[in-house]
Amino acid sequence: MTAIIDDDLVTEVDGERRLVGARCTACGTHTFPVQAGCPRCGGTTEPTALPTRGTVWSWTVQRIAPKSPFVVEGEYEPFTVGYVDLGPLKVEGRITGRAAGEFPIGTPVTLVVGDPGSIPPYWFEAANAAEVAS
Amino acid sequence: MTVSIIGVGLHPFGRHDISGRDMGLFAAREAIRDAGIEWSDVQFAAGGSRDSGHASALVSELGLSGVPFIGVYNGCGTGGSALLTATQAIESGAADIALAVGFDKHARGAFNSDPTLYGLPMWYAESGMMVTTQFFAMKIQRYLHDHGLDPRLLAEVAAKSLRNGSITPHAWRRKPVSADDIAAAPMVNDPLTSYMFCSPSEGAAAVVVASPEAAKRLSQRAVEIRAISFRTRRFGTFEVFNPWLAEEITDGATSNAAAAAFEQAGIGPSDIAVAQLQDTEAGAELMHLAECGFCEHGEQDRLIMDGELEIGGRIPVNTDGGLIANGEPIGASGLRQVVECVMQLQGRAGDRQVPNDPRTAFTQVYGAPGISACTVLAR
Repeated sequence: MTAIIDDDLVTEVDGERRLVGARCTACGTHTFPVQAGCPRCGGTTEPTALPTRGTVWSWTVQRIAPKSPFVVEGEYEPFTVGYVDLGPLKVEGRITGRAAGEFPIGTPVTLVVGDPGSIPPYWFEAANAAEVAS
Repeated sequence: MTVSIIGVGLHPFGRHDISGRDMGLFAAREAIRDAGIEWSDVQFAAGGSRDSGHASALVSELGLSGVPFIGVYNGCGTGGSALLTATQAIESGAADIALAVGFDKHARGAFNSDPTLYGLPMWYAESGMMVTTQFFAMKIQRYLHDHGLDPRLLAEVAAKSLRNGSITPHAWRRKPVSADDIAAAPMVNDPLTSYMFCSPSEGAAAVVVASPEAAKRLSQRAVEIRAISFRTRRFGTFEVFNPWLAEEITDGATSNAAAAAFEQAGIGPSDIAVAQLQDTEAGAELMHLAECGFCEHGEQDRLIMDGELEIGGRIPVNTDGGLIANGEPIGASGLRQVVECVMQLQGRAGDRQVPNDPRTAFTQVYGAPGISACTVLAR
């Protein structure tokens, strides 16, 4: 069963929250978030639930607090941000689960969707390095 | 028809007590004086700034001559777009003499952009992902990984820029810093430290272009614009402010603009004697070297370690210190590159003059959201 929680961003498929992207009905190109026209061929798109598992494709650590309208509760803590390769596309997001910067390219990660309205709305979590080794 | 540059003008880059507009006026007057003409001789003008108002407003002090003046608002491509517009006005026969001018004066600190102006959702900026320095870091991080390059090269590139800036009167950063100190400086966005980035700054640059007949009549030292190209991104490139990237990553706007410029000029990268490349941060210079064709991807370490990019090397790059030493007044930055190449080709570059009488030069700008402008210049 599919229930749309947030028209633009999040859907639920078989009890699992997933990000909503667009898939071009003509050429199959995926985008995130949803956009009506395909950036590759100009065709029309339809919403699609994106994969939830992928690997870190590139990353950096945001050492300095971004300017407004960045939302932070309490004291600023540097965070890792990266592109996660989900197969048909790469999605940008925060990467959590280890210390900032401990996410080399190729690290497996899983999507986590926050509660509706949360900032950030989603992030990717890596398995703890120690748990992976054990 | 080959359009020529017959005059150049520059207001020093850095931090100044005058307005961006006044710097634009200064640079325009310098270029007009350098060309040996009067403002009333200028038949067409194009120019712009990001934060300092309309370039066309300069006419109220240059003289209300009724000249057609096109305002350009094209991010880091503003100067390149203005020069392209002025050049095409000459080529079309609409004018014999035209002016391109760019100027800016930015607030301190990193640029801040409104997501809605880029068609992006508010949560993207609220989540702290709409940060240009973050993008540059992720791009070079992946590039170093793909091509097996040592992050140490980033420090070497920045050290060269600051070394060149230290002997450039119009530069902002005039103090050389060692590669070791650059590598050890505070990290801003891994793998880029604070010294590896350019900062928003202030300045202005202007260029007077002319038809072959006018150039012959007015100038003994005209520099020909052998090619000028401008491209936006194609599908599949890795650009700033993108919540997603395509399955397959393809060559960016710079690769396409540079290839078009060299094709138009009929010469190749190996024929170029001096080049100014967009170095918003040290990684950008590294990538643009290969994207413009000055080496293969992954070959940059050899160019840097052999000193080929130094003044006196085989292909000197960013001889006036580039963006890292000059900062980036967005409207002026692309034209600064052109002005520097003209000075080098005319043997007027002083302490930073490239030896052996350079005859060919190349410029490249790159900016959000995936645009690039290149020129091939020759004397």
